[in-house]
Amino acid sequence: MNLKQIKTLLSLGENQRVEFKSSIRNLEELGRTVCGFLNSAGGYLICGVSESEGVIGIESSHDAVTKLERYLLEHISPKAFVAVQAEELDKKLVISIEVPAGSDVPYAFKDVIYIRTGELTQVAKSQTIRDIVMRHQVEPERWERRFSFADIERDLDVQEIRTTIAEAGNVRRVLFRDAKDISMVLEDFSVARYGRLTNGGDVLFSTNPAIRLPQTRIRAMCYSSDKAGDTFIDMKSFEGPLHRIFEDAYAFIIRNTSSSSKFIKGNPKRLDAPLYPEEAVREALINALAHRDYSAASGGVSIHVYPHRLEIWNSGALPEGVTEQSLLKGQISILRNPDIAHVLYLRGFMEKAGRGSVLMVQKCLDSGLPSPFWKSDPKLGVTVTFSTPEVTPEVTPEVTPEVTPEVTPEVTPEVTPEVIKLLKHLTSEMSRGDLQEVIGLRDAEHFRKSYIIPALEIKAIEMTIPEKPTSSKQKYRISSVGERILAGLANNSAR
Amino acid sequence: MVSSTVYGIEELLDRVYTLLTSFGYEVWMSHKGTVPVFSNRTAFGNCLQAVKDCDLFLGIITPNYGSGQDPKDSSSLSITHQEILKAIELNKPRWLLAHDNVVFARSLLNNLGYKGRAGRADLRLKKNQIFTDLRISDLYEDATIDHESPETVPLDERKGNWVQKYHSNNDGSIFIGSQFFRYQEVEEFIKENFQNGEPLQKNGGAS
Repeated sequence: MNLKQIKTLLSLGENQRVEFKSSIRNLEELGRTVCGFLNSAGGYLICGVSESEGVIGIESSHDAVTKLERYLLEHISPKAFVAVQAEELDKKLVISIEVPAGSDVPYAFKDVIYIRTGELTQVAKSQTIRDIVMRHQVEPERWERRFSFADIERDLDVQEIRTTIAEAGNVRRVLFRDAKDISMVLEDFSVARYGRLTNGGDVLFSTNPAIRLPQTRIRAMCYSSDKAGDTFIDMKSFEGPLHRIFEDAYAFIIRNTSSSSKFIKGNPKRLDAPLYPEEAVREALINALAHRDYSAASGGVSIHVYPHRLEIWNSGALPEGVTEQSLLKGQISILRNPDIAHVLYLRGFMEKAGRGSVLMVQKCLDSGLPSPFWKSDPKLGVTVTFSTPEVTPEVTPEVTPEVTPEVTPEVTPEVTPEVIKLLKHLTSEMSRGDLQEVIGLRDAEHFRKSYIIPALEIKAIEMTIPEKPTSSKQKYRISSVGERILAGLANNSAR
Repeated sequence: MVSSTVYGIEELLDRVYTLLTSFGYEVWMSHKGTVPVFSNRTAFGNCLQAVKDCDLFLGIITPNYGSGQDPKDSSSLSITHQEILKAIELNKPRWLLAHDNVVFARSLLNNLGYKGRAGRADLRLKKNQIFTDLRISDLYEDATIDHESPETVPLDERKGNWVQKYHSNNDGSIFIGSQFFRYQEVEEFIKENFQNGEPLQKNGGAS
C-alpha cells in the first residue's frame, strides 16, 4: 500500500498536512510535531508507516494509544484537542494523531514553542513568537471562554462532573491535580478560572444552562409524513448539561425511527439495527453540539424526524475553513469550541474532528443508505440530512427543495461518460479484467485511470477487498451512490 | 524571577515561562521548579534569596493570596507577598501584573468606605473562591505605592509603581511579549554592534 492509498483509506485527502512516522518510540519527536501542527494550520501524524516500506505497523501494545495521549496531555501547554486513535491498515495496527489548528497559540511542548515551516518542525524564533502573541490579541475572546453568570457553588451538576471525572480518568487516564476537588477539576478541564465558570463549563456541567443560555436547548420533532410542518407525532425540548441532552436527543431519534431487520446466512437469529447507523447519527449530533456557534442567544439545535429522512439543524454557519465539500472529503479545521470538544473527547464522545463527517458518509454507504449531506447558510444555519433509499424524486421537491440541488451538484459534475459506461456494465461483483473485457477496452492503464479511479473517487463503486486495493482477487461492485447516479440517469431519460 | 501564587493560574504561568525562556531569559519560577534551592535554607529562605539574586523581577498578583502564612499568626504574610515586598525593598527592576478582580475588589471596598489597610482591618471575609483574602488588597497597594517617596509624591510623579492590570491569559502574554521582548532587542543590538564590531575591541573591557 503506498502513501497515497493510505491517505485515501484514512480519508485524509491529498491536500492535507500529513506526516508519516515509522513508530511511536520517539515520543519527543511526536510531541514536537504535534506542537508544530497546533501552532500552524493543524495536521495528521500517522505512526507505523514508513515512507519507503509503506505500512509496517506499531509493535504494539494495547495501551499505546492511552500512553501516547497521556504523554501529549502532560507535555503540551495549554491543553489542546489532539485525537489519538488506533486504526487497522493491511491488518496492521497504526496510530493516527489528529491535530486541529490550535485556538490558543502559541503552544509549547516541554516549554519550547515549535512551528511548522513547510514539512519541517522547528523551534520558533523570538520574533515569530512575538508576532503570534500580538496577532492573537486582535481576536475576541472565544464565547466558550467568557465567564458565565452561573454560580459555581449553586448551579453545578456535581453528578455530571463526577461521571466525567470517572470516564475521563478511566478511558484516557487524565491527570487531575486533585480529582476530589471540583473547582480544581473544572480548572483542569479549562472551563473555570478565578473561581468562576466559563460559558463552556456552563454548557457542559451546570444543572440547566438553558436558564442563562436559551440557545443550548435542543428541540426535537417527529412528523407523521415527509412534509415539513405536518402533524407532529412527538415533540420534545431538552435542557440540561450537554452530555445529558445529547443522550436524550439520541434516544428521541431511536424512539421515532423504525429499525431495519435482516437475516445473515448461517445465523438463524434476526438482526435488528436502527434505521440510520448509530455511529453516524451520534457523530452528527455531537458535531452539532460541539462545533456550533453558541454566541447568538436566538440560536439553537433542532432535530426533525420524518418517515424517510432525519434532519439535524443548528444555527450559524459552518466553522471557518469548513465547507460542505470539505466535509465530504475530510479537513483540518480550527475548532470553534475547543474546550467543549476536549471534554467530549475525554469522555469518549468525539474521537475525531476533521474526519468525522467522512466516517458518517462511510457508515451510511456501508448500511446501504444514501450519503448524508450538509447544507450551510449563514442565515439559515447548518443542516445535515440522513435519508432512506425510499426517498423518491416525487417526494423531495415538496419536502425540502434543497435536497435535489444538494445531492446532484456534488455527484453529477464528476460523473464522466466513462464512469457512466462503467456503472452500466457493472452488473455484479466483477474483476477489473472482466469489466475491461465487457466494455471492450484493451489498454489496462487507460481503463484504470479513466474508469476505475474516477468511479472510486466519487464512491460510485466500491472494492470487495478495500483493505487490499492491489489484491489479485480484488473485485468491484456498484455502491448506493452509483445506484443513485443510475437512477438519476433513468429518471432524466424518462422525462 | 517570576513570583506568584500557583493555584489556578498554571496555564498562565506555563505561558509566561515559555515566552520568557523563548526570548532568551533564564527563568526562576517555583511552579517549574527552577528556583535555585539550597538545602541549608528553608523554603522561605530560598525564595527570598532568589529575589535577592535575580536580575529582573516579575510579580503576578492574583485573587488567590497563596500559601506560606504562619497559621498561628494571622498577621503573617504569604510567600508571594513577602517576595514582592523584598523586590520593592531591594529596588529590583520589576514588572507587576495584577488580575482585574484584585483591582476591582479594592476599588469597591474603597468606595464602600473601607479605604486602605486600616479601613479594611475590621472586615472579615468568608471562605470563597473569587477572592481568598483581604490582604491581596494590601499587596496590591504595597506594589502601587512609591516606597521611596510614599504619600508625599503625587501619583503621576511616582516611580517604580507601575502595575499592569490583566483580565485573561492573553492579556498576560501580550504584556510579556511587549515588555520583555525589548530586552532581546537590546541584547541583539549589543551583540551586533559591540561584540564583533569596532566599538569594542576583542576582550574589550578586560583590565
